[in-house]
Amino acid sequence: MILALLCLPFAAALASWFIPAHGPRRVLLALTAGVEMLLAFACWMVEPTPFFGGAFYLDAMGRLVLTLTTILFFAASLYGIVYLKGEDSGVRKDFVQGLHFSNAPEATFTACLLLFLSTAVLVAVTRHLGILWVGIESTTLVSAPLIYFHRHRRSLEATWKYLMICSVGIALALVGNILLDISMQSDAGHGASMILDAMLERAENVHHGWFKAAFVFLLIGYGTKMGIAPMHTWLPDAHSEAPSVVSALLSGALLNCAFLGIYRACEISAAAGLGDFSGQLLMAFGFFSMVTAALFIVGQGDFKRMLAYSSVEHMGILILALGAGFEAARGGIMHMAGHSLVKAALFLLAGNILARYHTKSSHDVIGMRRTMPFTAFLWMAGILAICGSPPFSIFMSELSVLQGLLRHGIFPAMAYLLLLGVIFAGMLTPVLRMCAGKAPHGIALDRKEAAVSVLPSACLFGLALALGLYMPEWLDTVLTAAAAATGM
Amino acid sequence: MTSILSTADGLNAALGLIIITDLALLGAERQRLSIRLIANQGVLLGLVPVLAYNGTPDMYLIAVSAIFLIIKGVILPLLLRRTHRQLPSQQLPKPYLGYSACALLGIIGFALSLWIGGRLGIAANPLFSQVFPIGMATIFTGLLLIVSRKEVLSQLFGYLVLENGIFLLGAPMAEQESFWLELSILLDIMVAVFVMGIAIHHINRAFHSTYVDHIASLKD
Repeated sequence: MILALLCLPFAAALASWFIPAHGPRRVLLALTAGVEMLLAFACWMVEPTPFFGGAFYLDAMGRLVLTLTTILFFAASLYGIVYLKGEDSGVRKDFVQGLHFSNAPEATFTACLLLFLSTAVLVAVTRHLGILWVGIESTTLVSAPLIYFHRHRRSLEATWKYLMICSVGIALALVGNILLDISMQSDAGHGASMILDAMLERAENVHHGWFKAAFVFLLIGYGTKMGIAPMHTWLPDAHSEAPSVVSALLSGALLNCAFLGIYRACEISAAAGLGDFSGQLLMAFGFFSMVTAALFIVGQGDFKRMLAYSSVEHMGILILALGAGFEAARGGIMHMAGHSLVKAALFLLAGNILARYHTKSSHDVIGMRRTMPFTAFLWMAGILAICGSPPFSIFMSELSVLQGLLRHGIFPAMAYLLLLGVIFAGMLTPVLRMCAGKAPHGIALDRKEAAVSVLPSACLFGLALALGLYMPEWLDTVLTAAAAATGM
Repeated sequence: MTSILSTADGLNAALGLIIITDLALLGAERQRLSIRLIANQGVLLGLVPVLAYNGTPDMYLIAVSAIFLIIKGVILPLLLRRTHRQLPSQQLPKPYLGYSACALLGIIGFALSLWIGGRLGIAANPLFSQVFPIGMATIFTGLLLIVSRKEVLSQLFGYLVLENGIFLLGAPMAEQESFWLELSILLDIMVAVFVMGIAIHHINRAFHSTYVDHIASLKD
């Protein structure tokens, strides 16, 4: 089953390069996404057989990341079909700089999308830290052409920053892997196995100095890819300049892959009895990310950049939760699911707004409730959800994180609440302005919206809402198991 | 004639030459010279696993080293040269810190790496402790090149030097079981350099320049 999960999107990516017609290629994209999602669902019912000496095995966290990735990819691929149909293949005028540009070939775009799915699945299904690194680095390489789909100067600039900053970050994570291996060696001749189970077994005898150095490198390396401040600088540019369907995948799926890298390091840290060391580091970076996000969200005039900074905030919450103990970690892992679903949906809606208004400025987008009522309704609901309003799952998970933080004293909890409050106000102000008011001149008052442009977002919000209202027992078990593995 | 160099001497000589290429790269003003230095560093790195081996190296180790040497010392520099040729000849902007200051910082980085290595203690495999300061200094050199240079191809040089440092740190791990993993990591890096090369080509076409200052419109 794991092999099928890995090979299917890879084979589909190769095939899509050679399919000349757009129609069949788009069908292949949606079909592959659908089958991949069903395979991921099947993994909840049938335990997949581990292979390659345990290097490929689905644990609780891997299963969660895999399922989220395939759900998001399916939603994005359905949206992507309509998106690609609407994209003019000829030369167009860039509405920001007024320069002419064309799109990258659709075959390349589709193939890279499928390769992205393949590499993200590789990250989720492996418990080998070396393969995990290869998977995360590969996600960077295959997603760079996706960001540069619209071949204009801004997307090229964003792609270069993304490539350079993330590649350097991931390279530092590789240093972390090597130092981890050094810290685990007990004799001169043999390197330690990089499979997580073997590492957890040997963790008690780890060399503390080398391990601490390894953890710092892993945190900075994967943290760069995850968009943790102050290594986040690529994220607002890449998320705002990529096509919305790509932004949805970057924010909802790619960031989780990098988070998985940090989560694995935490598992070993806890087993080595160094949970306090890693916990303090995680909490410091988590708070710093939330502060950075708050500073840039308030007064942010570009609604896609606002969503990107919101991702910085939520990644901060994730690692803050991971460092704050079991209860918060459980909430944090639930938060990962809620953030992925809601943020991906919001980016897809941002694509609708951009297509109608031809601007990313939240000051120029007004009267959405008149021009595109479905999108406006979902946009408002989504912003409320991402800001942690009840009854969405993010409210529940943020509450769990707060409970976990209270164990560390009143000040961290108060700071957390204050930052959430500032970000709530910062995000809601422009969104209210966007939805209310009269439509500006020149914007068609055609209230019709293609069902497939809003349905994927509605379904993702529905899932986030359902998770907030009811937590199935099987999911609760998995969340508890995933949090327990960090042993904080 | 009894003084034949031992492999330990050879390793020390290679490590010394690597640190010299690091400093030379920080002070290099011409990109063609930088590419040649990166190629030389790649060849030295390819030799490290053989020189680091305690005893007579087997065929496996020689083959692995040959593959690494070809990729690091030949293929990657050729990719860089190809990218360099595609760009119009232009006067390179002075780095943010100046070439001499960069080289000086490189020496400070080396001293810092020695200090960190000492603080971390002796690893179970003493070879790690031996290569650690040079590896970290090379990583520092790569990072310094990336942040100090004002031209995108020079930043790519920095990325490759950074990867060379990481490769050096991982060299004592060269074992039969981990060969496929090391090779996949190296291939990943090769693809990264290839993709960045394409990006530089596009940057030059779109901006008519490869200066970092010209591609800085995305700000808050």
